[in-house]
Amino acid sequence: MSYHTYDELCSGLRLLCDEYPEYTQLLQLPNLTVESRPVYAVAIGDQRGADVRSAVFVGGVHAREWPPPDALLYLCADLLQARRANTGLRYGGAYIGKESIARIFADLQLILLPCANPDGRIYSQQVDPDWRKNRARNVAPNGTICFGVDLNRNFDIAWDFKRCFAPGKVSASDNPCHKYLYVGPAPESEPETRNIVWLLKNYPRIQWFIDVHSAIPAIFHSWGLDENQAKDETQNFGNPAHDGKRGIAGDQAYREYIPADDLSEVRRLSQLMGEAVTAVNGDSYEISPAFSLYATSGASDDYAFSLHRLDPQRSKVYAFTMECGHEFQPDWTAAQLVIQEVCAALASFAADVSGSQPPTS
Amino acid sequence: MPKKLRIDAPSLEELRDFLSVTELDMGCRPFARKRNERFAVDVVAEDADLGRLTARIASDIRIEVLEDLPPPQAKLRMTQPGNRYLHGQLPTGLGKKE
Repeated sequence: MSYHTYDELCSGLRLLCDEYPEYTQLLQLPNLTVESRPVYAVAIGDQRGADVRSAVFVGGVHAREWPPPDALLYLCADLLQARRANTGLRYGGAYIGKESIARIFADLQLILLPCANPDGRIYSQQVDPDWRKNRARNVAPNGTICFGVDLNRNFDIAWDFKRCFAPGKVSASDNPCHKYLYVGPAPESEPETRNIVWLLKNYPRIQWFIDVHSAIPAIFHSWGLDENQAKDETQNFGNPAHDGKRGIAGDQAYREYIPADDLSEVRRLSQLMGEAVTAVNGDSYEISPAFSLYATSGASDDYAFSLHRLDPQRSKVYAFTMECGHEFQPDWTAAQLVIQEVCAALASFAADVSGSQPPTS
Repeated sequence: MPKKLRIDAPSLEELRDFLSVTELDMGCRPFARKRNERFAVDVVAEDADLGRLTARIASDIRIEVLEDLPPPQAKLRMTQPGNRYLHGQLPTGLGKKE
């Protein structure tokens, strides 16, 4: 066994949807990739559709992080098999009981997007294992041709980092030839980014979003833009009065607003996932706000959590980034353990939120 | 050959200051873990980066080489040609159904 290629991920999803039509719907997302590949997600649950309370799990945004797409395909397979057989699921010492599995299917729709960046994954697996971005063709100001946009700096949340942040305080680059951190020519410029945005906007009852990356290991919750504070609502990403002040660690001039109840809930859910990871085989993932050494701009988790502030009519989306494992491409034996950690964390998360009340705005 | 390095400092501020003028690959999100009252970040660097970093070391910054990373060719052999699902075998996952 080895890591899945993109073709295998697509074949695996199709086979699962053919085998379990009563619980699945295959979704081809509206945008082809830069290199014209289709991108697939799968919705699973007893009920599917735009009006069903949902959680989204995304993988493969960063191409070189090979375990997350495999983990999401396998999670899908595990959940479907357990649901039909009316069993629980065990990953090492982590156990999700059959009642929890049944409740996940009854109360939730899980939308799994195993590989958001197929072009990048193919390039990483066939040419350059260190490749992180998509495969967009960029022309630098001096005429140089370079490739790739960092999709996780391309979302429309403080995307214009030179305007939004204090100089030098954010992990982002406007250099089209930066190997890792190029933000792209415009917010949501990339079709792969727009596919995730499409999911978030076309399924208005999405209430949880987890973007699975590697390899720190850590579970991050809001915010990545700056340190958190729960007192001053005017200190928020959309307020231009604070442009140029964001991203400075340790200061009091600007911190990102998050209601205390929301912070408590995202911490609790992060901790819950961390405990499930530890139960698998004893590893310990750090639990932290996404802001640590530096701020990040244009990231998927911050974008998802920002949506209800921009449109108070829509569901609040609690958003996380799970950074699994300790290296980008562990050997397959080690990768299987990481995959089990991801599956245990996400299944435990789904079991918990499936019994919860909707977040309030 | 790329190396995995651990850079640590007594405080987050000192670690930030040291890293601020580097172009190191810190992964998805630049994140420091607290280890034994110090703050550490793991990065990937080439030999040339290591030389530049070592030359800049001041105060209480420490740099440890954790490992030499495998060459890219070794990574490219970690996927196999073909399609394991071509004959209709279902993905089964790694969880035990019990």
